[in-house]
Amino acid sequence: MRKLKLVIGALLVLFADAVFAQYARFPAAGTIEFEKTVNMYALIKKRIGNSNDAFYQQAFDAYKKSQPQFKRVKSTLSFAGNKTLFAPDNSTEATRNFFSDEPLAGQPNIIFTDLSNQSSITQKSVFEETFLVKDSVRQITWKITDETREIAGYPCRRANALVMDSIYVVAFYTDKIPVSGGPESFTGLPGMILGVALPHENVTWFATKVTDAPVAANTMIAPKKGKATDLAGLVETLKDALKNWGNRAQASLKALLL
Amino acid sequence: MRSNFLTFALLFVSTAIALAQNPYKITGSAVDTAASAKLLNTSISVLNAKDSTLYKFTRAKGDGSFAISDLSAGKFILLVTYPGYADYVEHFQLDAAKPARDFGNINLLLKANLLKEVMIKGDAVAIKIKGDTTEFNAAAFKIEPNSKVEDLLKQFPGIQVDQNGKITAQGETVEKVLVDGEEFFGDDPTLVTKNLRGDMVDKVQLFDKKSDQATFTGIDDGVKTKTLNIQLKEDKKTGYFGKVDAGGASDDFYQGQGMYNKFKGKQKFSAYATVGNTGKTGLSWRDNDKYAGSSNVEFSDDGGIMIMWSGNDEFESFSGRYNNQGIPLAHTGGVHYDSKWNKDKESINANYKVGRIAVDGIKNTLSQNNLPSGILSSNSDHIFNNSAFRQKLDVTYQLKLDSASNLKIVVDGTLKDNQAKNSYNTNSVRGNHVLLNTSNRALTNEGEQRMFNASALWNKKFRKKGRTVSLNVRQSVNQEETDGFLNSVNSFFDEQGALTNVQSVNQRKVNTTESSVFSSNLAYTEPLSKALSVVVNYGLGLNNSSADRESYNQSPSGQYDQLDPVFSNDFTLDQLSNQFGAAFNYKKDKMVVNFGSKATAVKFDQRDNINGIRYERNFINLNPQGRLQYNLAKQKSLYFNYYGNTNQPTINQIQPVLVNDDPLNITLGNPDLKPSFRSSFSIGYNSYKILTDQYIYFHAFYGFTSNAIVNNVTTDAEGRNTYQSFNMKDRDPANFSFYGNISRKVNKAGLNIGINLSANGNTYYNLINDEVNMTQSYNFSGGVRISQYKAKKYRVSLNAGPAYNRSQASLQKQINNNGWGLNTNAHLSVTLPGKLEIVTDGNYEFQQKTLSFDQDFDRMIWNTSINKRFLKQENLTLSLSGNDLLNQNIGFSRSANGNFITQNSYNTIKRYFMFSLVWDFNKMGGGAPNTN
Repeated sequence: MRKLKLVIGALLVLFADAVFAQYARFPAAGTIEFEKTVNMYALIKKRIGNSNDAFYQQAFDAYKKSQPQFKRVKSTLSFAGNKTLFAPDNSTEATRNFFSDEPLAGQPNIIFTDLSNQSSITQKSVFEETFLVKDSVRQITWKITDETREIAGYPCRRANALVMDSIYVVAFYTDKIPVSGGPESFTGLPGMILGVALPHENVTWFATKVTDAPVAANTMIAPKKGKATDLAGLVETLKDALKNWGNRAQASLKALLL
Repeated sequence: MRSNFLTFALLFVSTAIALAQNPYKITGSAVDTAASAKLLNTSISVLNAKDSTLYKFTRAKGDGSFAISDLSAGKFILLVTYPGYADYVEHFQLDAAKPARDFGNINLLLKANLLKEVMIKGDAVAIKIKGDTTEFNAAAFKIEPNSKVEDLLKQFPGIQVDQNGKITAQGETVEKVLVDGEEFFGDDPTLVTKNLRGDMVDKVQLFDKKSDQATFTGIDDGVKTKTLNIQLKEDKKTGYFGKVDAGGASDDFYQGQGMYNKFKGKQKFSAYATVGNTGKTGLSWRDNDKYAGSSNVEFSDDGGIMIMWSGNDEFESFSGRYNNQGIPLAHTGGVHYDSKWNKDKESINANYKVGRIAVDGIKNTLSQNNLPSGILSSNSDHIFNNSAFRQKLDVTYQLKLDSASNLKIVVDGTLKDNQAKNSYNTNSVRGNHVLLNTSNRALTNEGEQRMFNASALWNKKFRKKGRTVSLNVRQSVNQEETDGFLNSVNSFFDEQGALTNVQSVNQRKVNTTESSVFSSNLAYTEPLSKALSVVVNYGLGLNNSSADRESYNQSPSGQYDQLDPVFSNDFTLDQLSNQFGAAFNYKKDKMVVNFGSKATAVKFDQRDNINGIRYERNFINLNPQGRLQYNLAKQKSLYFNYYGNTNQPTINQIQPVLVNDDPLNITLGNPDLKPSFRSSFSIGYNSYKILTDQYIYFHAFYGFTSNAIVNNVTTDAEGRNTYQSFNMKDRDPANFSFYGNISRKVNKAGLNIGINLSANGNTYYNLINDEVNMTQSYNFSGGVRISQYKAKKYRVSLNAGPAYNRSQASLQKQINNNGWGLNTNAHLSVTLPGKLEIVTDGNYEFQQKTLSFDQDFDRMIWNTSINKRFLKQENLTLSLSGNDLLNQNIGFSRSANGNFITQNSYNTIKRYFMFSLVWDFNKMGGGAPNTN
């Protein structure tokens, strides 16, 4: 039975490729819908650590009773030529609860990236303040692997990297979209990134839908709101504000600078 | 792995430098020879051969040609990919001898063609399948302590793991590996090394996972992926921790406490004991949370945290301390047990607490009674010796019935023995300093109280978002028996100060009170639209109580066996209430609006069983309320509240029990009382900016009562006060408060400066000898606060400001208690090298003398402690502390209430020096405890 399926599959592929092979479509513009999935149970467990306070355990138990393990939020990445615009959809902000301010669970960034000159403009909401961070794109040393998987109908190849010295990133990019962009600040692969996982931070972004259609020029506009700064300036501001926060500062810093 | 990263970074830099004049490049062309097609947009990547990190990439042009220049010398991998085609991989090297490499025509093969050549060969291994899921129990397999999960998987029948970590199960490649439901990606050991160890695994499940789409829509689209779910063992806390704290001090003061907690899997057992006469009456909130497993915290789905603190007796105060009046001696202890089972669906939490607290004290009260004809001043000395012994057992059981409904049952019982001895010695003088009356009273009482409560809460969420139903029922039973003696001698004097009359009472008092209260509430929430929802509720309440109070006079034989019918009574009360309510909740964007009302029909029926008199009354109590909240931004909101409620007269106001405990203060009933209605309004704003540490907060409140139930006081010529409640028609007693605070960080070092303003007051009306009196009691204060904090270094703060107090009665405005005051607080704690810490606090309070009270009051309380930590984990602390170093602590307060202006002073704990040793011990599976 399996063999039969394989053969049929192979025949189909053969047929399709015989017709379309040389005309494989490489979208130069389009919109990708991403879903960010956060394993809240794991994050909360980390936040509680091995504290012996019954209070946190009770808060966690109450959370588990009313909330699912995974928090899912949506975002879109529009791309046209060498420009990409990543914008979160924060309209379906889930109800507030005791752990809803978990820094990694939020979507604070609108990112406009110009891949031709490797620069990006990020509108980042940090607590009560909005910053407009203009800087070059993050340089990531990717390790290419031979593992592949299909995401939203596109064949993708896995690459691994470390960012910010310690965050392990697994990305899946497709050579079928010849734009080196990706969700949030992940870029620099020989094709569009359709999936990102931070396995040790319990967060993933996966494309759920790719629309291969031209993007109206007036939608690809860099964000303008916020206090202008660069990455170094932002780091300094945050470190200064969080210096007396103890261990939680590290989690917040990590999430806010990602 | 970091050094690797650095190497790459260096590699990049060096290539960049060499870039200008370097001749290293590659060229080529991607073609499909079979179809003679030039493959436009073929992805060409150059990887470093050493670690396959991406170096450079490009895309092929329309004719399939590609070129990458500006490369450096070295060993590389060329990776050429095209959708639908097999990858082309070739190792190559560039060096001075051969700086350029032309790959010529690279012939790409369709994957289908490739598949034909390398058809999957391996045979599927026969395997047992149970339903859709195959489950392997990790415990059944032998696991080396530090083996990886892959090693464990290899042992499972039907599962193969190749050298690249690729897992094949039942002949199919496992597409997804989940760990506790979350996808597992596997670590690149050159980048991270946080491996899942085999001995952490509880179970491994193998199943065909439907696509996320199918799971979401419920429509099976036939897409299934072989999925392996690795369930880890729960982080089981095993081990124990605890604390021993013992201190001896000067002036016979001492305190000690011991706490112990043990975890065993999901079971937690703890025990504690405290003893001392330094004001500590139990565990602090923090310790209570750790050792007594408080079950009084509720978390609502919308982020609210409710901490319920009964705090209505001396054993359960929030701070674990007494109210500072007198000198206490406390012994308390308790045990706690909790456990979860049945996949955490069921849990139990039980506590037994036992304690004895005795407080001995002396209190002096000066009061000014403002009458139309002048003032009366009295001076009362009160000596008290009170003690109580209490045992309490509570058990909470929670059951998760299904994913949408929960049940919680709480049962508790308390036994309490009280002993109270109070003696009062009071002199009252007229405005011209001529003696009016004297009173000597001694009351002793022994009481026994039994309380039992049981409640059940059930709630259910429906499939429709926002639709919920909950039912809460509660039954309480309370019984109290007291037996005591009243001995009082009251002497009355005429205008010249000559004794005119002496009244003596010498009685035994035996009281029995019982009450049984049932309450219930059924609430249903229905979403009317995305933004609007409504909550309707119905509640039934039943209250049956009885009070039998017997007073006996002494017969000539010395026995207290002659019933005093005037001061003996036997009442029963039956009260039935039906409550209906509806509240609307509107939430859209930044706006939240709640409004609604409850209406309660109360029928009460009181019977005087001795005189056969029945009082039946019916009330309708309304309780409208509204709230508007506008969330301006993150951590910034503005709100407005209205709350209104009917206050029905209490039984004691309608038909008071005749009591002769204090013959100078007598209360009469008024059966014609109508309910009063109270309205309160509040408005508030708060804004917190994390980055600048700027905090702005203000809250203002105003409330007034219409048709207020107030006292009509008749003070007779001998100084006896007779109180009777009545409805004040024309004048509404009112109260207000305001608090505002602005603070922010002013420099990089973290200096924080703030100012605060506070005002509160009330205006009260009553009748005194048939004349209307208005009492105003207002308090205004402001202050400046400066603080600086540096984690693990120091914390310093100073808070100071003036206060003005205005309390006067309109009848005797000229003799008022208006005056200024000052309040100052300072705190300093410094962590010094050598694990040494110094903490010092000071509080200075000043109140000006007033026309009512002719003495200034000032008090400086200064406490200091020096702590030295020992051992590697700093878990042994030696402290030398000085409490009230200047020996100035006295209890003191001034207030205005009704037509009385009162000053209280009482003895309290003063200076002592204590030497104490605190040892925190910990042996947990998870290592050192989290200290923040």
